[in-house]
Amino acid sequence: MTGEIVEVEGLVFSYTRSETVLGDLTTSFCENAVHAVTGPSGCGKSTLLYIIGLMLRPSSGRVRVVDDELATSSDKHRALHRAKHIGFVFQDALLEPSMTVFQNVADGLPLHLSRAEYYPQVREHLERLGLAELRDRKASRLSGGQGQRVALARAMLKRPKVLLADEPTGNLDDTTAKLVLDEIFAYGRQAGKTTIIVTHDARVAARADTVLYMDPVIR
Amino acid sequence: MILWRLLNVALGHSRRRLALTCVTAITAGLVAGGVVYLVNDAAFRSEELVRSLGTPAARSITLRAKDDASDRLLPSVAVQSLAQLDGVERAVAFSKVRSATVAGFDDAKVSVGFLSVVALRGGDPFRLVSGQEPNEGEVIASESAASQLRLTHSVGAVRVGRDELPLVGIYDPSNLGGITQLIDGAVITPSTPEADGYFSLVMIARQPSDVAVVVESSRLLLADLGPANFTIDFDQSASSVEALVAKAGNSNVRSTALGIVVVGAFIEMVIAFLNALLQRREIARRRALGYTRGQVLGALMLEGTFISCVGSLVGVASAAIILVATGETVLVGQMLSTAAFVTLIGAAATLPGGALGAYQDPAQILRVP
Repeated sequence: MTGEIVEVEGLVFSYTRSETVLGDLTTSFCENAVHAVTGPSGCGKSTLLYIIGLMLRPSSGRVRVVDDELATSSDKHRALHRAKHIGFVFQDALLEPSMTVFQNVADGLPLHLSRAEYYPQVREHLERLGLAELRDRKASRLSGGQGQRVALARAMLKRPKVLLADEPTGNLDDTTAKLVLDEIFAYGRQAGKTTIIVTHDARVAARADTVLYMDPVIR
Repeated sequence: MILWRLLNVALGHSRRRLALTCVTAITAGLVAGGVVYLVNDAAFRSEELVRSLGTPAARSITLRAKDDASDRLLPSVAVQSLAQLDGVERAVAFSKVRSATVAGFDDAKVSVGFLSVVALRGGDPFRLVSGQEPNEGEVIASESAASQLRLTHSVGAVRVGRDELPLVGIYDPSNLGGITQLIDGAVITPSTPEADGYFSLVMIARQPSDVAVVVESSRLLLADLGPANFTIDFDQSASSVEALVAKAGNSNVRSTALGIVVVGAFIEMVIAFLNALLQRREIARRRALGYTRGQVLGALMLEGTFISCVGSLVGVASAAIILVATGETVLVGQMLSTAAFVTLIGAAATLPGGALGAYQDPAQILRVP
């Protein structure tokens, strides 16, 4: 493990004044590693993930992701930073059912790329992940496991420095879950990358390089 | 490139939510088609109205010396001045009957008389034939003369030299005997004016709205003669009706078109809201992939604009087909501008729904419950 790629300091997040989810959290995540975030329901695991993923703004505190202070930066800047450096995998694959696998994966690329630029990139990526056979299949005809692998392919296509996974195997059987986790873990251990995975599953946490256990905020 | 990809995203949304797309397109089509139909129909009717009001008969003003028995003359100077008024397009004066007021034929039941006619302005509108005597029971007058003198019932034609003139109006001898009746019968033939004054003056106003002005000026110019000594006949309704109908018509068309546009925009706005709500997860997913709020809003607005554009073009084309089928004219420029306007309204109506979609909290939607 080397340098810190994600840092949060004094992080506080409240939905309302009386409902504080994160209270003064300071932690960091280094590159070339897979980090598990675990803890009981309501402790703020997903909230932390979405704050790191720049989808939520903290009530106070600092957030540094890939060399950029982002807690108070503009929404546009945060979105562009997210598009460039952050990949998301959710419990639901969140694929567009009427689109093909190829189109769904290509959807993960920045908007400014032309078809000529992204087409070979997507094709090669699908082949590397063993999804080439599915490329023309509609997402509505994929199994849950296939769908999640396509979602993972979409998240990894742009080679983000930070891959965030929120209960990615929550809906999968053990065999498929292992396949998906293998890919997630392999990605996070590459040079210059990191994976942060939110999970309730102790077996998943046990495979991670670091585990952040979160307790609910005492109110 | 970004716009092209956003358009693809928008078209993808449209295809996936076909029912909403169809409702939006149909709404835009009905709005554009309705407005085009209304405006074109109103324009066509206005043209017809203007055409009908623009006939010389509707614009004619006839001044007559009232005292038939004394054959009093309208002052020559005043009549000349009236003929030169701004609002007058043409003016023809009728002077004293050259012969007797009653010219006898063999059959005593029928009589005709002759007037001297002089065109004071705008040439001779009546195509009069010098020296032509009407046959028994006939009036010689050209079609235009008949129209301007409000004669109807064309009964045939008579050949005069190389000209074939219509025979207009059959009169009863009991109507004859006075100058006014002779004028009414349009028993007219050209001759050199010999008198110092005129018995009557027929003026054709440039447009219906000039009629009232000319009439008022006539009254002023003939004030010294005294109102009891002359009459002024004109179509009182022409000038006012033109203005009233045009005003009422325009006002009705405007308010109806505005109503259609407002209702259409409201429907499109509701659909845009519904669309944004139905796409919540899709929008949240795109935000997670790195779309900015502006790009999400852009995609939603492109979607609304594209559907409105297609719908309004189809609506406008449908309206044009109906208009052509009913024999009305179609204003192409107006059609295209309506389609563009309705597209713009569609885009604007999408804005609140688009903003709702763009400013929703994606984390709230995506997080595991």
